[in-house]
Amino acid sequence: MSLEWKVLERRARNGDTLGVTTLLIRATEEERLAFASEVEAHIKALSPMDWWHSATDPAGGFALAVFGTMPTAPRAARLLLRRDIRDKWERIPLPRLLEILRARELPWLGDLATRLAAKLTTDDTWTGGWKLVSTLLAESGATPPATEAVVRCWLDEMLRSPWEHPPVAPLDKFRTTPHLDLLLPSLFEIDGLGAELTRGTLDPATNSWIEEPVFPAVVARLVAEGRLDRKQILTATIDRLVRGDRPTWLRPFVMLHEALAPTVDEAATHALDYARLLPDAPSTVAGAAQRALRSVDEAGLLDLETVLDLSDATLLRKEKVLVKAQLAWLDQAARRDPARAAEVLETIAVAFDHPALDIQERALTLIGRHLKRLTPAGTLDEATLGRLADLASDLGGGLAARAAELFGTEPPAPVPAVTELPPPPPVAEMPPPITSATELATEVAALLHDETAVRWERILAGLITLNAAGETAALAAVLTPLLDRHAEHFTDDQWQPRPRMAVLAATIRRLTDPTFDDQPAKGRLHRLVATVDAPWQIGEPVLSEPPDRLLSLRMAEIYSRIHRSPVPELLATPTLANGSLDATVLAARLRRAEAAGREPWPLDLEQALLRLPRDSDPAVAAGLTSPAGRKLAEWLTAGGLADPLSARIEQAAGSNANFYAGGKPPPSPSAIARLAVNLTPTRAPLLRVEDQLVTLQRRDVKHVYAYDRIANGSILTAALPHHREVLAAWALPDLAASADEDQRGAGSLLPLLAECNGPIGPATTLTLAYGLSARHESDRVAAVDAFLALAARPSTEADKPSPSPYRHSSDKPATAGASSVPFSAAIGQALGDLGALGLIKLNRVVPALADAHRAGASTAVWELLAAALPLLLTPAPRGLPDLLELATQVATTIDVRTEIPPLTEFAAQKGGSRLVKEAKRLHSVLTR
Amino acid sequence: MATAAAYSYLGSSALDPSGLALQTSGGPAAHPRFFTGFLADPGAAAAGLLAVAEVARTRYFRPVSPASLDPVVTAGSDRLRFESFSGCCGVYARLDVLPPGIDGEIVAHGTTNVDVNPPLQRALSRVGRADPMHLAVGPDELTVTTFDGPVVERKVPLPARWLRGFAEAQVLTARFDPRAELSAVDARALLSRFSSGDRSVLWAVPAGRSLRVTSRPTPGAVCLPGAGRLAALKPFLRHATALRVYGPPVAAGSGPVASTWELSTPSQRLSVTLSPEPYRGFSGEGAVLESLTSDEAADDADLISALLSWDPAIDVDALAVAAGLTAARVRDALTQLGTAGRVGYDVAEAGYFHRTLPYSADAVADMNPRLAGARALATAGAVTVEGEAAAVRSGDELYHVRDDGSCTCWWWAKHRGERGPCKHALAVRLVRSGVTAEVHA
Repeated sequence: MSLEWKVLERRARNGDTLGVTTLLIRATEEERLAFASEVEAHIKALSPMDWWHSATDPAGGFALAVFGTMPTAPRAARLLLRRDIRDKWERIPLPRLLEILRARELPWLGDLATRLAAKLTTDDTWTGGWKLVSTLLAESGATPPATEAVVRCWLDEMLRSPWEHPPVAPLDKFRTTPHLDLLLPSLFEIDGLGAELTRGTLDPATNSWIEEPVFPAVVARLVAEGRLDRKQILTATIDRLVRGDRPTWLRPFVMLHEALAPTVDEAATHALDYARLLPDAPSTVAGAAQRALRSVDEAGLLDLETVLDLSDATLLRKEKVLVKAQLAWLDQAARRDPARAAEVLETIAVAFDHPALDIQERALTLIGRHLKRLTPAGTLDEATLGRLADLASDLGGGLAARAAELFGTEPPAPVPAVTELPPPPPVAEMPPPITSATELATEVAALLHDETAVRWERILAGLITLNAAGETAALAAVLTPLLDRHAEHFTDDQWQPRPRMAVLAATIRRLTDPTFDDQPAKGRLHRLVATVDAPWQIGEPVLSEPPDRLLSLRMAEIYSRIHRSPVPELLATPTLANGSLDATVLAARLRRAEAAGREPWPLDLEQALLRLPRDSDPAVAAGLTSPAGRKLAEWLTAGGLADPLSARIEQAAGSNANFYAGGKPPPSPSAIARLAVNLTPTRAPLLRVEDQLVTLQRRDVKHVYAYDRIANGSILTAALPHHREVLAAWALPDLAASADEDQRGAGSLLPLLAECNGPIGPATTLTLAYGLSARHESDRVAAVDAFLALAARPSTEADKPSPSPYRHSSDKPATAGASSVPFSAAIGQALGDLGALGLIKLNRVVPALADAHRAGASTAVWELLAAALPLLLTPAPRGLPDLLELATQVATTIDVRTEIPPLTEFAAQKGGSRLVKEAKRLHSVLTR
Repeated sequence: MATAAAYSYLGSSALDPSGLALQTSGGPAAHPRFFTGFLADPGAAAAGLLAVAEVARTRYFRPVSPASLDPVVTAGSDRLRFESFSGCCGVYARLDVLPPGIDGEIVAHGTTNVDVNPPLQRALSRVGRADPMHLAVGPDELTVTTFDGPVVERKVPLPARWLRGFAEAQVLTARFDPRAELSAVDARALLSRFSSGDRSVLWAVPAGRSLRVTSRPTPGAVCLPGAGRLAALKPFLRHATALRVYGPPVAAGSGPVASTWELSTPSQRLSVTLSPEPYRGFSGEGAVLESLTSDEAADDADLISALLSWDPAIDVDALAVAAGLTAARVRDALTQLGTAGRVGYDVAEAGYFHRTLPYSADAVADMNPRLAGARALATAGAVTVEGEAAAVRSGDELYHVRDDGSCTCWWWAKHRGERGPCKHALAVRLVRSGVTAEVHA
């Protein structure tokens, strides 16, 4: 049987690789070599779709033909690296391949293996490329180039073993691999490879998964067996730690370092490396470096300069464990060498700059102890003492007074409160109106990326005025290509949370084509149009959703009326960027409508009224006689939108809780999972949309997945810019989810709320409390911004007694009396309640409040803490000591002296826990 | 499209008892020698060099085709500058060793690649605070002429966007002003607040002795775009005396912008410049497109480049006198040179400095995809000017451009001018300025 391409191709296409192999093996080497050109020609002639036309992809069989006929390594490599075959290496049957290779005994097989190895990519770990290459390498005894791809593929093979049949322990794989010495060093050199080295393994005995990375133990074992050089591995490990990487990727190397357990002599040779790691490396690495260095120092192999030099930065690390260990080390060093104790003490004093009071205190205590010992001996000169006293004068939390006593200096005069908050900038004016069709088109295009209330309002106003100015044709010319281009964004479908874009598009199309009717009988547009076209009856439900949906409804009104009863301008277009509308401007618009004998659009008028400032003068409506004008007068006389009753409720976890609880046991369905707020109107409505805006009845059970998230804060706040509490009640679930469901992004609403007006009630305080404990820093930062803006309000506006019936805790029924609690204390109560119930994490709140304190809002932060702490002392949630510490710092800054009875009681108890210590410290600062 | 950078060093850079010998490749000569002498503060210099190398090897955002190129060193008339650019094209780092920091002779001026290999990084990390250290940038003449050992050669991909980004980062920083100065202690507290994986875009405003992090920009604020990318600065903190922050002017409602964070010692400055968002490379920021559309700037640039003389800070007024151009035209020409990688910008000195990237960067300016697209549109006659507005037909789509450069295209709508003009607006500008006539010719 001679070699014929037709036969070979038929077998390959039928998946008969045995047949292909037999054909090749039975031929003589001369026949095979003579056949090479034909194989080459046919493979080069393959079209990319060929594999599709046969029973089996012939690539595997063709590859066998390449291995079976080619005369040189470069020619074989060229064919095997053609896309048709390269992508399908995993289809090459390796046992058959070996039969062919052994029949040919190629001298250049090693060359071919190396060529193919050099072309591997990291994808080949899972696409099977490595299997082929490693087989060729093993068969030829060649060594691969140590490229990143080769190293990753090899490592994958070493660690993948538990899934092989039968499973092989990774240790045995490492023991038997021929590439260990060549490739192992690269595991320490390639950045990011630590991610792979964290892989665990399967315990064959119990068939259970072991999370712990297997790599460190394996290498340590090979070192212990003498298979690997201990010195080399230890150096490589420490080098990797010095070079640095993401902390999680360094973990296997930290574990390896621990497993190798360097001796004191070994550690001493790496002292400079450790000295570099301790101040700057991730905490686990720094911890290992600290232990190693200290052992070197205790053996007397480290000079004091190095210790002092690295201590400077180490003492300011965030990790208190490291700092405390460093202080203990310095303490020891000062005892050991009294002649140089002065230098050591000055280094210890660096810790006075640490933000934590317990660290500052420990440093001061240490220095005090040494002073007592050293001063009689006269080892400390005056200059050193002076410098130490100087450094200590900035200590916080009453420690400065203690230091003054210690050094015999004057106690520092209480620094007067430096709580000067700049007033928040005034709310920006609306930008000028849109004046051309092209400008309108660019703004509509911008809506696709960033919907803001300002942009929407300018587009609505521009559409109306340009249409009235006879620019309809120009509008159509520039807008139609845009709507066509992004049809997927401008058609209504159920996936769009709000239909306003679709209604805008329909309105624009209708402008040019009055007969245009997008969805004649169904869909959200139809329902919205039906609603705005229905006879206008006050109190009839029009919205069943958050106030931001008013915008969709207004769009529908424009759609419905732009031909039927055109107007030259809208009434509701705001004058300020937060949605506020000046009453005199509205009155002027109404006057123009009256003069032209036009009846304004009803929903437009209602939105305009809802945007008027609270203290608008009813006199602006004087002289208006139309129904709309009289409505304005009536509205202003009634005092605008009446604040609803806002009441806090508790929501239970519900039985759905286990779906989102992750690895934690689900809370009991009846446990309190969230605090929410209900709104109840306090008067008969004057507007059609009014009742629904101020009525809100939350469920008894927490919504795990919020279906009505408020994606866009400014559109919400522009609906009711002078009723902050109502907006906050609607937005509360989003903010709560940012704290208890780890959601991201809701925080941006809070600064907008702060820019709105109106009394502050339980919803506002809860949104801020949840915001300050949000999972993501960007949300917490936004909450701090809002807190600062509220704290910096001019005193005339801040917390003036309001007629609102808001109450700040849930235990008393609402009374319609004035609320005299400052907003910050109300937030403190909310935080206290949430913390006591375990619904938020205090360790997120502490840095946020510390930021507010540093930004100058210390008084407000103190009011908050003073209200929160009594509620938190007994439940003592995690993070409370840090909150107490912050309270001490704030209290020292603003020099507050007061008695908080629960704190007095708490601080009186015995005990050395950090909680009790911090409570005592705060108590002593407050009552000094 | 990616070309390749080929490095050829006469051996590896090394630190041994005789000092730090940095090997060079390319630039004014095959292996130029720029400096020999002593470093005044070797501890800080070593930490700074490591930080520059760290940025060069890091991908802060995973790009399609990562680059990992060696740092470059420029010997100006009185100082050495080490620069690097991250593989993701979003972070630029520079170590300036100022005149007090070097005690020796700058033997030649120019810019070259410098080898910073892993063993050298290990050695640099062990440099103590006070060890006096000899530094040689480049092999001495004798070595070059008699060298017969193996040359250290490496070839790495050099993506066009990397090259453009490196050059354009300079132009972007030319609009920066100082925004804040912090002491080393406050700087440490601020930097330790950001974890290395932090990719959120926040802002910082000066407050008291430090900066306050805030969620929204206000006038005077500086952007904190993916603050985790500042991690390379941290090891330098223990040498630094101050942190200065620079950024462009912003207003309420501004989008993310770039910012420069600079740690300084009396003899050195280490700065890291961050792109406006972690996923955004400097190459797409479009800061230079406007000056590239005019041919006048190209001619001026040729004239100006002949007058540059490795000054640490280019004196625009002196150049204007020497070239007989207005100061504004000199600045445009410098922008053009910046795009071609032939000047850098030093925010601390608020001035351009002369340096020529050792890559074949001349074609880079022309490779700007947006500009190429705009030229194609203009040449094809796709632009119809209608008074203040213009219509641009691109394929089957029709776009409208206003005279302020805003457009109805997706790209403009997304960035609103924060990343320069779109190709439609550029095409309109080309047509309006009559450049198309030349393009046709």
